[in-house]
Amino acid sequence: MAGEELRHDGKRRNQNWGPFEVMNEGPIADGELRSLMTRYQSSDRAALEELVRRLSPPLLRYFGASGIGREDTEDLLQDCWMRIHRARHTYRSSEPVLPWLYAIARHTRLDEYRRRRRRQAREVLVAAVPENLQCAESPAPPETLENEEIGRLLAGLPGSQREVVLMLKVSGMSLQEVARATGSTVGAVKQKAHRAYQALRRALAEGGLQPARGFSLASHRRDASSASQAKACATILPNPTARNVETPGRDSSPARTEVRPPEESSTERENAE
Amino acid sequence: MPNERGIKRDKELDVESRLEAWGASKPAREVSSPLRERIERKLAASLNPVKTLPSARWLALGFLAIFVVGAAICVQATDNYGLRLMNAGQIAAMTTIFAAGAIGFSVALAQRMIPGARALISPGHLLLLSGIVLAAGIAWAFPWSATGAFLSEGWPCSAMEAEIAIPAAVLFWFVARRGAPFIGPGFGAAVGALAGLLAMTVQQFQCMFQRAPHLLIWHAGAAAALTGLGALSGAVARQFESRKGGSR
Repeated sequence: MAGEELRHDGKRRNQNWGPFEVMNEGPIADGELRSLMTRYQSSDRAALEELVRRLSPPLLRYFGASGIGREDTEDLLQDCWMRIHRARHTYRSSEPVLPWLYAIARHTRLDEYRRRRRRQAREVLVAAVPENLQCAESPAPPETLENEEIGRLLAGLPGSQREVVLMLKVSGMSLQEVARATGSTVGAVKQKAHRAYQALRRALAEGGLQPARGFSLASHRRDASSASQAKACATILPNPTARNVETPGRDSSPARTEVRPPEESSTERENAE
Repeated sequence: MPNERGIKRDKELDVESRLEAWGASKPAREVSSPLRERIERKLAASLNPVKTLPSARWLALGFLAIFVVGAAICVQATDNYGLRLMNAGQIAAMTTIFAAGAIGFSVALAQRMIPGARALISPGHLLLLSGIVLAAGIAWAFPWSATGAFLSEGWPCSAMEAEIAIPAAVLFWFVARRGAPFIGPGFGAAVGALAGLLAMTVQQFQCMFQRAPHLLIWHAGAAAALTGLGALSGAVARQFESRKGGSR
């Protein structure tokens, strides 16, 4: 059907409308985004500002759904905009904006995952606990028990399946858009989504999936930030005399409380490309 | 009696609706004004008009043109001994396979240059399919006799293939790099496969050992190794770029 495409749930969605919703402003038309992108490519400052204003909230939401803290999410957003800026010549006005944008956002997220992994690999155990012990993340807004459980179960899914579910269910993208953004085919996306639903259904029936199976960007932090700060610290530090701190390195950020991740699962490695 | 498929579908919908509820619990957050201004300032500092990339179709045609011209020049520069040894069926089979491979990998590389481009076939499947077709074509079209000097007459072919493929890969890499804001193993593999195929085409038409074992191991095997080398180079480049980004 012209102008419409099949959504994952079988409903039809008008292709002229993207899933972006700016607070209090409703959805943004893809045609409008295309025209803003074209103006941005010809160095229109107003178009740049409008794009940043309109596209940042959904991008922030996408990065935030990985379970990382607000500060890191904002860093990711900045990094993502720099990449969008450097790659703006690769956008073609005849193509939809959404898959192009999320393909860049996806790579930004993956690169951040790798950097984090490298940083965590340099952590060492020290005997003394610093006096001004504070968890790096501020507590996340409270979630319902069910949503918390879903979040935890998602963290246990293989990286590629989790990504597809995030794009479909958090970013509200269609199968075609997810396929383009992930550089795969619609069939492959359908298969990943189906496997993810199956795994989730199984886990829900069994009463939970072990999050350790696949280490997400901050699946541990999600656990930590869901309770109070003190409780979170207790969760990460079962032994008060031993703590993970970061050793200074080339790309190290200010010292923070981090949890050493379990062995990288093969499913996270899938995300490498 | 309840319909089993109906129950299965209901369960599926239950998971989907729970996921949707979870997704809806993560509302789009407003970006703070200082952050937005910081982003805008950073981007505006290097805001200048850019020339957009041609469409994926034109990019693919460009790679194909480089492939054809490069192969033609190299074949002309050699003695074409292999061409004289092959019969019409063998020439037709190999030309068809090389042409299909060149089109497929040109399209794959062009798609890698544009984020969010439509993929007709996943790169992994394309590599697998082309490998199977190439091996089957050689196995079917060429005799399975082997000589005693399999190793000594084989490795110079692989070495020469690498000599042709490496400069070709460098050329493809630099042409493709104008797009491709993020390189990785997939990008590297597409470059390696296209360059390897170009070198294999040249070798096919100049090699004097037109036998299936020789072609499979020393020609197709070398092309596969070059594809792997390309993927490895892509992974290393990706690691380097990610590190560079991390030190920002």
